[in-house]
Amino acid sequence: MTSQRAPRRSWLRVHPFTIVVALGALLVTTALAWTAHTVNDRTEDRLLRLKVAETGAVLQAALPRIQTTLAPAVKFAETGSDPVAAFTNYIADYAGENKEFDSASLWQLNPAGAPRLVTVVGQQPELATRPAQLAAVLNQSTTVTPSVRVVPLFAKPNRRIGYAYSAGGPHRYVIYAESPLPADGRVPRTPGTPFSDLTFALYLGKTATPANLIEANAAHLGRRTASVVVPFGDQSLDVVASANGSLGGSLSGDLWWIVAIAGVLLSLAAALITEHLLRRRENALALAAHVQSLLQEQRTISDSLQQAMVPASPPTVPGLDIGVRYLAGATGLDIGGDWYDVVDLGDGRTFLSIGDVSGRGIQAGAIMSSLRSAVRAFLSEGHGPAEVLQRVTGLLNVGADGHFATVLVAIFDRRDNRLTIACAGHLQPLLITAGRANYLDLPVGPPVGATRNPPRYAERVIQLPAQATLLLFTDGLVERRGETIDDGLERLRCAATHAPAEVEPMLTYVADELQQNPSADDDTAILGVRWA
Amino acid sequence: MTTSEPDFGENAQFYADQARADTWVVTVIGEVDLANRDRFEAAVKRALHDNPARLVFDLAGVRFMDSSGLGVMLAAADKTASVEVRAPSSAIRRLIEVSGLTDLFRVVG
Repeated sequence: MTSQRAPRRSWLRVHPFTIVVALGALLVTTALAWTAHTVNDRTEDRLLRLKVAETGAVLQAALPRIQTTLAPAVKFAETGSDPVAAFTNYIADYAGENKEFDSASLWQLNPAGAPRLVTVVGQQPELATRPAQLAAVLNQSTTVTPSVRVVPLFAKPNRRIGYAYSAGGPHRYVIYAESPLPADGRVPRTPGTPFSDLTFALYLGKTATPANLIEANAAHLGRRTASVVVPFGDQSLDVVASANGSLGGSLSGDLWWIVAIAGVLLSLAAALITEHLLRRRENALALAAHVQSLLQEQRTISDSLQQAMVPASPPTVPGLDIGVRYLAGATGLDIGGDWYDVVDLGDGRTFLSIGDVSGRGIQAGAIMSSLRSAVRAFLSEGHGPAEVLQRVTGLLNVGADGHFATVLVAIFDRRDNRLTIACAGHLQPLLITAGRANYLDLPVGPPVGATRNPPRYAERVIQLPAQATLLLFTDGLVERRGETIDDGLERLRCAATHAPAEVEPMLTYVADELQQNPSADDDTAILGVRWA
Repeated sequence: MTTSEPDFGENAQFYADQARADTWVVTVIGEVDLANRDRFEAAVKRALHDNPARLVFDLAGVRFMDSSGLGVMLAAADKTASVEVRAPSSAIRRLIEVSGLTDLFRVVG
């Protein structure tokens, strides 16, 4: 094993990019939640201000109503023959128990002395017990006619509010009415009214101090308040209020934290997905590297197996210059079925063979190995090339084994340069001499294993010239897609013509010239023999 | 006349059709090599399933064939009385010649 798979990343070690994604998403979430919150805040403020202004307008309208109630009483007292009866008769509808005022009194101003109480309907006015305040209120009433003076009587326990009205006529009548206020300043909340969703406090005057409190519907106001000051007779009303709940609706108020929670969840999901994808990519890269190394390993194994079966260096034969090449195909990882073989027979004769088992893979390699051995074995029994082919062809059958083989078997006698050769479907050898190259013209029998009935192989004895080179090769060297085999053979012939004469540089030159074609996907075996 | 399902491969298509009672035709289109040798073999196996007297390889559409393809045709020739190779390209015709197979196939057209 040349490489290990990348170790799995621990879940505690998160990719930096995942953290960036999570932080980015959280940042966006924070911004959105803050925006939702701020928008809601502003909307609530605006709605509360509107609501309080509305409340102020409604309260402001109460005073003209009081004036409208009190003004006819003075009128009746002045114009009636019996002022007391006329006043009492009119005001009885408004003053008394469970009426708008619980006390209404008619006073006549006296420029010389204290105001004179003409008559009272309902309770005795609280103001009568405070002569100094009474004089001030009644006397001032004449100076600002016709208008209502609001009289705060906020001392506990008997908290009241009074209204003084004077028409300023010749009899200088002043009508004065009082209403009780809740002792603790607290009024109940009344559901179903337009302002039931407000908590409010009502003050007389322009400042909201406890001493000025008229009434409130709760002990404390909410966090968000709005106030409005409206004129109220000769005084002012200060309305301070907060909303009970959200004026803009609950969704508007809840939106910011819904956005926040959803955003956090989405950030988490984005981080998880990012981490998952990053890890998948990492694993895929590690796997690809692993597969690459396995392929390399397999290629290495194939190469070593191939080299074990087909020796990379030929035997040394006295008087002969021998070279071999095994060129692995560009695409395959498998073992090829090509072989060459050289045996020095010792008596000046040298045995040469080259062959190509169809297909690739372990099976093709095994068949190649045994065929090569069988050829050697039959040769060692003294059989000639044709007889050797005759005998090995029975060992293989394409119908049963799925493979056949092209084989060239030759014996070269260097004493008289005679070549005895037989061919089983193999390409013709190339003879190079004196700068010229030509293919031999041998009778070709069918490949070994191609037919069930053993064919007769023809043997030919050829007298070769001195100082020549014989090149044996398999079809991988010349076979190309999209052309006939003759094109490849011609290319090889040209290359051999221009190649150096020595065998080793010649093989290098020829291999380089013909391997330039990138579609060379078949294995190639080359055997070169040169003699003096 | 029965026709097998066409086999659409990456580089080649193989069809096995019965032409006559005793004749099946294997039509090949594309490039035949070690990569699709098995599919070629499967088409031949379909053609030979009822032992026809004659098997025809129609190679008019074949651009390239290597020794693996030849091996499939040789194996078929081993099992059938008569094998005919119809309309091979000049490259395949030469391949058959240089491989010493002219006696095993009847080359036509």
